[in-house]
Amino acid sequence: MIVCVAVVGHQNNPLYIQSFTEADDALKLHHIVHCSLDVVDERVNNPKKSGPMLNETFLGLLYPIENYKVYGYLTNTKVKFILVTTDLDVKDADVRNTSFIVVLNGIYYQTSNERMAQFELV
Amino acid sequence: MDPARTPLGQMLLEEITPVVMVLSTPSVEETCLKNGLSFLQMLTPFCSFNNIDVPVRTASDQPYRIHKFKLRLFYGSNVRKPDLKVAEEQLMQVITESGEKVFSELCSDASKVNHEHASSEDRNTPSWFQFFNKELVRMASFSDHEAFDHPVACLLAVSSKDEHPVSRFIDLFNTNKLPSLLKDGAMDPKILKHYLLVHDNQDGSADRASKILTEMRNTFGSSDCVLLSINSSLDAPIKHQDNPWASQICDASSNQDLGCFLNIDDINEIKDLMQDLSSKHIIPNMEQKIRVLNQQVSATRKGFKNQIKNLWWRKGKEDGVDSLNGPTYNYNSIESQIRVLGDYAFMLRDYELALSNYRLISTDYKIDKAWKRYAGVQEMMGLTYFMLDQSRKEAEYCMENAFNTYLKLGLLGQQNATRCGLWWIEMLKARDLFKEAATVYFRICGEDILHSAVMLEQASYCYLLSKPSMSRKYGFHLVLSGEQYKKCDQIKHAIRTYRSALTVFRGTTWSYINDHVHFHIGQWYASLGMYEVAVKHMTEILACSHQSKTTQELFLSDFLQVVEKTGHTFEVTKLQLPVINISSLKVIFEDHRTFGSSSAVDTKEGLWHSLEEDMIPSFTAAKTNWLELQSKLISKKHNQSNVCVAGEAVKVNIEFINPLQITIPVSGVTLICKYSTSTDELTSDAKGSSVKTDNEVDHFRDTSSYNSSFLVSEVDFSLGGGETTLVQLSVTPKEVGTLEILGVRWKLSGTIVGFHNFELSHPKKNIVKGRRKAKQSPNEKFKFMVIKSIPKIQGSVQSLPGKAYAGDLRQLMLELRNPSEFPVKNLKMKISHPRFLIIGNQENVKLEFPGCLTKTTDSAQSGAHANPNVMSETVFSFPVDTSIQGETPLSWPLWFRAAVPGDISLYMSIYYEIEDISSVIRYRTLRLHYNVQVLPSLDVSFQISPSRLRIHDFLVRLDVINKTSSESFQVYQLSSVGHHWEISLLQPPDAIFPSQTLMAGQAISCFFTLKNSRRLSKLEHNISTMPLGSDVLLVPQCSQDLVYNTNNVPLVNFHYFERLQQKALHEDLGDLNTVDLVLIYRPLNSSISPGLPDPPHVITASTGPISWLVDGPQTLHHDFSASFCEINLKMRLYNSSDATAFVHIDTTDFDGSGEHVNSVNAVQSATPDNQAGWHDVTPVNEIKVTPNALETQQGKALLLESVSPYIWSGSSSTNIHLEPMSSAEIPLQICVFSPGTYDLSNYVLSWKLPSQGLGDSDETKQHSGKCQGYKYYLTVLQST
Repeated sequence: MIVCVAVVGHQNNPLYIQSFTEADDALKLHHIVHCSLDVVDERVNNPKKSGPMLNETFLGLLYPIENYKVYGYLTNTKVKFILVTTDLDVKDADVRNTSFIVVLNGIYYQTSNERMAQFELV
Repeated sequence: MDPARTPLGQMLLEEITPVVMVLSTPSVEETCLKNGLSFLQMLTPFCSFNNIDVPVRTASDQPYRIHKFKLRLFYGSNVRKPDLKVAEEQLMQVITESGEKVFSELCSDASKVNHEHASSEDRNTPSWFQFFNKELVRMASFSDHEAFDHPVACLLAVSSKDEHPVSRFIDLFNTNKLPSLLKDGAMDPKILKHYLLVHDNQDGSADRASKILTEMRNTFGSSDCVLLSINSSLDAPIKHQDNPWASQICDASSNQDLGCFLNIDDINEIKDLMQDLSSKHIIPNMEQKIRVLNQQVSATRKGFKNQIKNLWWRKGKEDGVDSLNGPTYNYNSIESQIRVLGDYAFMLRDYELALSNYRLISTDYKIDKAWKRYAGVQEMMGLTYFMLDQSRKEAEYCMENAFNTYLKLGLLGQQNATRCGLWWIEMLKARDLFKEAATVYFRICGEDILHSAVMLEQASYCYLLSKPSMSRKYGFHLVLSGEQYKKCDQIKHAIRTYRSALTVFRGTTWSYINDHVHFHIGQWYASLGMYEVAVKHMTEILACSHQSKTTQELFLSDFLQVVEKTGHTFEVTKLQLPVINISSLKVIFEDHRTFGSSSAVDTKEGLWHSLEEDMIPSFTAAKTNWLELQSKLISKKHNQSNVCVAGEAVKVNIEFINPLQITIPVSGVTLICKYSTSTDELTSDAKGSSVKTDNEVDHFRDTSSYNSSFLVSEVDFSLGGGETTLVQLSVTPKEVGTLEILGVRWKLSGTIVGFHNFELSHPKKNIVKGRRKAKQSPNEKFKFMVIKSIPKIQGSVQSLPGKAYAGDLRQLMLELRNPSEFPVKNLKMKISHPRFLIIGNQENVKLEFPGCLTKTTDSAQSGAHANPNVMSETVFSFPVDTSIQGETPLSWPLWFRAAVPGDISLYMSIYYEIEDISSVIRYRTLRLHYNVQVLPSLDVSFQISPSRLRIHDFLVRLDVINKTSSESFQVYQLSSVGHHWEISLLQPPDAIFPSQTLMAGQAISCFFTLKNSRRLSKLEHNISTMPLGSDVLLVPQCSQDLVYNTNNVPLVNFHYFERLQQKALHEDLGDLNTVDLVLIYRPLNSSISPGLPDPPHVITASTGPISWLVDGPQTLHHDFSASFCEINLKMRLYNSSDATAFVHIDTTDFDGSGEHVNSVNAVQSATPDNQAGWHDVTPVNEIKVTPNALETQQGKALLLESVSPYIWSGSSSTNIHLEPMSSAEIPLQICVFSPGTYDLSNYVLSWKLPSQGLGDSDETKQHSGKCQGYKYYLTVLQST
């Protein structure tokens, strides 16, 4: 299950964080997303390590923590999409091909009304 | 890198060293206690040898040398597994103590919550971690599965005081009292023993001791017995410069006394003893044991045959014992021996040998499923690899393997897992793999919350140290660890970690996290009773607009609770709640400019300035006056600072914003001001003195200064969720001096006082009324020079409507008051829109309105009217004897007329001078501002066309449309302005207005004839010969009495300004042939506007100065069979201008071109709709006012019919000079050849006026013109 989707600006400022759980875990997810930015930074700044991923916008698995897996997606304008999921045995390719597209579409439709204002900041 | 120099290497060299078991008698201890030390403590400092240089030869034949060596001493009773509970407690104590210590350091600089300091120091990991880790590692010591903790030797110490020393030696090594390791067979009880006789020199000479020594040597062998005499310093206690014991005993108080009876000889003796013990006994003993064991192992295990045998033998054993811990191994089992061999080799730094043995035993244990032992061996393998600096991967693999295996064991392997993990981490750290180290820390976190807190904290530092540093993870783990600390009540640690975490989150927009951290730090500080710091942190999160409502409530209530606990009203310099919108800050003060209302304040200074330009004395003049008069008082400096008057309030507008969703009560909002009596003060000092101290003082001062020199207003309000309130605060200086506004203070929820300093936030200051000196420093803008009280006039316009219909005419009253005692003089007034507002006469006050406008009223004042000179002067001066003082106000009438629809801002400025010459301000102006919304009422349009019947007549068509939505009007009167126009109705009013009213949306047209009654130039206008008929009543049953006089006071004035306005629009004004018409109408239900509206004036012109009329027959009968028909016509010309006109008439025969020369005259340009009923209404059908379009159409129609043309048979061109105001007649003749209808417009009339002299204002006047003849139809019929 996808627990949280976040959009982070190019200065690593949170633009939008949405959790999809019932529990009151906003703070925790904030922390997780915030932490995963370290990994994003690392990947962006060390193109050697990422090798063939250099021109990839999909950053892959960033950060396994506790029961979550964090995936990242980086746009050309350095806006990051972060996805936190509880599916521990999910494959990278799956996330890459489906989840992000679905989720981003989801955000798009979900936010088309009031949230779009925030999106325009991007 | 040399592995031995890394932290892990150092640790291993210290921790994995031979253990010496110490057994001593009580009297030995007693002797040592004189020095404040136990026997063990006394020896310990001399157990590590940094430069011992001992040759070692282990299994191989090649000897090597050991330079550093260390022995670990333990009392026999301590050679056992540490008690878990005791150890835990000890650890807890370590943590608590370090918490206290670090926290107190933290608090010392917490007083200044200085956010910058964090960067450098915090990056160094706290030192107590190492100590804590060491303690953790020791918790796993003396396990039976590893041999390096097994004592390699036993040091037996007996005092010379003891009875029967020799038997005491034997008693000491009594198997019953021995540690369990030796008793249970986990290790070989036959260990090296060393016998030590301790002699206290204070007890007497060493004779007895040496006697005993000899006895011992006889019993135990000479080499193993040693005599140690201590306490040689008999009287004076010795103070050791660098006390070797100091580091061991943390109790600082008795530091100085440690070893006070041990002189240098004693110490040297101890040193020698220990060195001998290690180099001559322990090391050789270990060497020997290694060789023996190695031989045994080689014999039983090395070689192919042995391996097969071993494998087969183990397989067979498999289904035997299967306990959790695997089989137990006796010390003489081959497995134990291999392990001992490995450990001994490790301790003697023969890592190759150690490694080969560990490898050997590792597989055995694995097959035996002796997991703990297996893990232990793997662990040692990892360490050995590390020390050998070989195969890093292998080393890490072993460590991980060991760690995982320990973890699998659960509780049994807990301590070992921790130890293994710590070693592993050190290994990773030594290779700069901090990130990996951090994950290991994370894995060490076990059940124990406290341990995991420490581990998480250490992990966080690893993230910080990793390259590139991962500060976010650092922050996250600090927060995690802080939470764990909190769970075990280590609040001080929790605060510390959170505070460190703050450095990561500060300045970011991750406000949820920031809030969480600040909030908890605040809470925890509060729980420690440090409310001041708590409040400081809590204030950071008050403006949390992003949080949910409940969270906001929680934050606020907690905050208020904490503040309450501080016990006094707390003062915070940058309270975030409510937020002050500093860009809304506006300072309003009145120097020579005073304001009637707040809207007047908001008006741009430039607008006022242009309005007042004519009234106020020129600026430079004023300045010289000032300098002459006040040069001593006012320095140049003061010219730049603002001036305010004692007793008059300086107002400050500030916006308060509540960012929360909950209501917050704000009370006691006041300005913080500083007053000083001296006016020179601000120039010299005060600049350099720090702003802070000033403020500090002022917070408290202002409470006491209410009484004296200034008065501040106090405002209370409550801000609902998300609300914004504009608050006006004021300070009223009472005495002459200098007043400075420093900031604003307010009380939140009655407990906490917030300040906002205006100076601190300079960049966007919006001082509206300050003199706009470009280089004014922000401070200057809030500084005022208070001058002594001067009069200030208050004024207002009474009964000015907010809403009016266009044309609405009203009488208003301007009321001026001067509450002060001092008189004012030289009052002047100027109004921005004279079209809307004009100044009346004093006498008008008594007049009744609107009756005063009718003609019946006394014509006395009608004589005073219409002086255009008065009106053109835009500045109105009140009569010299006007004085305003005291209670009675001065009332002055004003006339208001809503000239055009729209939102109108009316500005009035009243100027007055102060009679008191000594005052700094000589004059003041009162500025009034009013807004009036003017709604459209009647839309009036006129069309005037010359009559074709009489030469002086014009036909006027009036179209009126009621544009209002609901109002009905009565169209009352139409008047022409001026004396040479007569106007009369074409039909009775009943026919036009059957209902007498004009309903909303209704449109009506009516027709008038306008007659130019102007006769030959009478340059002296005789006003008294007022022609009749210049007014037409449109209401049937009204008597002539109620005709309004358009020459009366307000109307004529408004007419004047209206003309001025239109003059700008129309060029040909000033032509004598213009007529101004005034339509008077009034609302039917007069409750809305009792006055009578004045219409828009329509200024029209005839076709020019020359008018003409073609006169002749309309219909003719002629017998064309006889001859063609000759028709005589007359053209009458009239010159209405003041000059002789030259007129030229050209008749052109019909050429079919139909060209229409449009003259410039204005009448034709208006194109009315071709309304039905147009012709019916006009009784004389010669008057053809046809639209242009229609005209050309008709021309074409005539052409198509191919009407045979006519011929002008008279003179084809005529020139005449026409005297002013005179007429002439010209004969015209045409010839017609067949019957038909002819249009006789084929002539052109051109006229020319002599050009006017220079300096004439009517330069733009039309001097010549050319007019196409108008249509004149002639029908010629065949006579029978």
